[in-house]
Amino acid sequence: MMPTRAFPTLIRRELWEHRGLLWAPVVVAVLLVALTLVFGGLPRGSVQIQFDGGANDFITELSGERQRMYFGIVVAGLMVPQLMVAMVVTFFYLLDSLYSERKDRSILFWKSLPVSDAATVGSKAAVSLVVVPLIVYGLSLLVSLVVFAVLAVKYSGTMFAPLLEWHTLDWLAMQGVLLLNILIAALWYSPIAAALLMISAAARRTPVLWAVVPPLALILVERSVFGTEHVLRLLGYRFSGFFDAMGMGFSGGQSSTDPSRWRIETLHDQINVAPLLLNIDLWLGVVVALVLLAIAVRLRRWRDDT
Amino acid sequence: MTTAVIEARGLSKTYRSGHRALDSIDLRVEPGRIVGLIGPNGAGKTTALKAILGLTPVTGELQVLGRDPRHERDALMREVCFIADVAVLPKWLRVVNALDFVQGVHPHFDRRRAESFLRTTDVPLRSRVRELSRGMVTQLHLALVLAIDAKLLVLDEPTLGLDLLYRRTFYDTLLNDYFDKDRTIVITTHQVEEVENLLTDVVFINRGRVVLDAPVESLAERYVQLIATPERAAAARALKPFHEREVFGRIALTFEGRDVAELAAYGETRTPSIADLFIARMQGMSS
Repeated sequence: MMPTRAFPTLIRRELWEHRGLLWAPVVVAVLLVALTLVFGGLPRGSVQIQFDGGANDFITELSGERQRMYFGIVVAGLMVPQLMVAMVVTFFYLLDSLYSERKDRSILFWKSLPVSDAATVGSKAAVSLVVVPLIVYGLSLLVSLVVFAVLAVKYSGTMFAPLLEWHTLDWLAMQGVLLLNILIAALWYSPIAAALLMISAAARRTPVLWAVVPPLALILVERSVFGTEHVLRLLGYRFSGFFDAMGMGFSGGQSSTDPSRWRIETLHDQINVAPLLLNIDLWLGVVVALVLLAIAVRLRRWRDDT
Repeated sequence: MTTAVIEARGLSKTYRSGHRALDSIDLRVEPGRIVGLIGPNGAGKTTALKAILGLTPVTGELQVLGRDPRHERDALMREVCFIADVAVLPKWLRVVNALDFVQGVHPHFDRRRAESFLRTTDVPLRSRVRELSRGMVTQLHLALVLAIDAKLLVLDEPTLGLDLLYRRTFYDTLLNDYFDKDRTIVITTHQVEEVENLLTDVVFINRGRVVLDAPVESLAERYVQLIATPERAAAARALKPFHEREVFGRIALTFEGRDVAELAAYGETRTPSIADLFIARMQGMSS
């Protein structure tokens, strides 16, 4: 029997070693709040003078249903910078995680403890697919609260105040959608994380090159020999398929004049990727991920410091 | 027959390069022994240890504490501790987090014991491993190992690169605070003099083969070293020494299975030290 806190200990270990996983999203969150504080306000007093009736129309147009939708877009959008930074950090984390322990020979220390290779590899996959996304989620939740509070104070009493109206129920609903999306994204991107872990366990040097060069070479060879682009399309689909499912770009069949488009409920429906759970490709990806993780476990089992 | 801690038969390992690191090794280690696995660099010592720890695939029969390390490394490591040379603690790890980690994953770890040992050293709890001297890293590793209630301790060149003071305290601590009749220690080293006095058994390995496997107390019965003048040594050669060398104008001849009384006629006799025997065995092999 393993002590029950073994897995949480393994997760903590990852965050001790790769502090950037925690700090990078925190820095972005702090930057977002700082930017709001510095640039988020217009000089008081000048506001009423600078804008004529046209601005009033603009503000009226952005009230009601539309304002609710923009509220939703801002709440969701505040997560994007943190998510992008976290993805870059996680990419390098995964490639490093089973490689550097061999390079600095610390693998001999980790393996001298009663922790299975499966638990070790599993903890690294869990950090990349669950822990980091949840950190980003939690931070963006805080950021949206702080940013709206800051703006509300800055604009209170001005003509822009209606634009910044707060909607608790919409906010909660959006948090629900985002949390669900993050968990589904973990499933969708699991084969990529698993492939990076496998490369990290296999590479004798420069895992980054092993992650980038073989797929590129495969794409180029396929194009020049067969004139086809199957590999490129497969990879492109795996990277962008999740965003396609989110209906990003709002370029669907509905025209921009369709009033039903300008509702937060529509926004929620559009970015909710729950239908992806019915997509066989998601589950095929999970199967591929499990196979790749099993290979990574096996590689680590017989790899030592040499 | 008691249950052996380590039981290996026909253990072999050939690297992809064709290098035969282990060539059908038989090894049996009883509980409560301190075994020195001694051999020149590249003899197969470390490969043998890695096999015992489940870190490298080998062929042959192998049981450690009743388990096959090739399939049950993680379960085995609840009963086995391992210190490779001092470089293997990760540089980024804080001392306090090292304690947290082992406490989190090891069911037989006594944190208070580790902390009280660390208090006798200069190792600061908040430091990272990279900020510690080599000696302090070893003390930290020792603190972790002393606090684990294990049956087998495996040490691979544990004092490599340490100065004399740390080396001496390392082995003193092991003997005084750790070792008892229920525990077994296997040490590899090429510095034989350093461990000579604490071993109960010696196993010499050369070129992947066991060339000697004996309890230390049996060495006095098996081996005699004769120190003689060159003239007398010439006569003593008839008794077939397996090794000889010149020391300050006199000849040291090492014999196996000869009566001390018989040799005393030629000069001064004594039991060869393990270091002497090691050199005699290794050179005897290559000539």
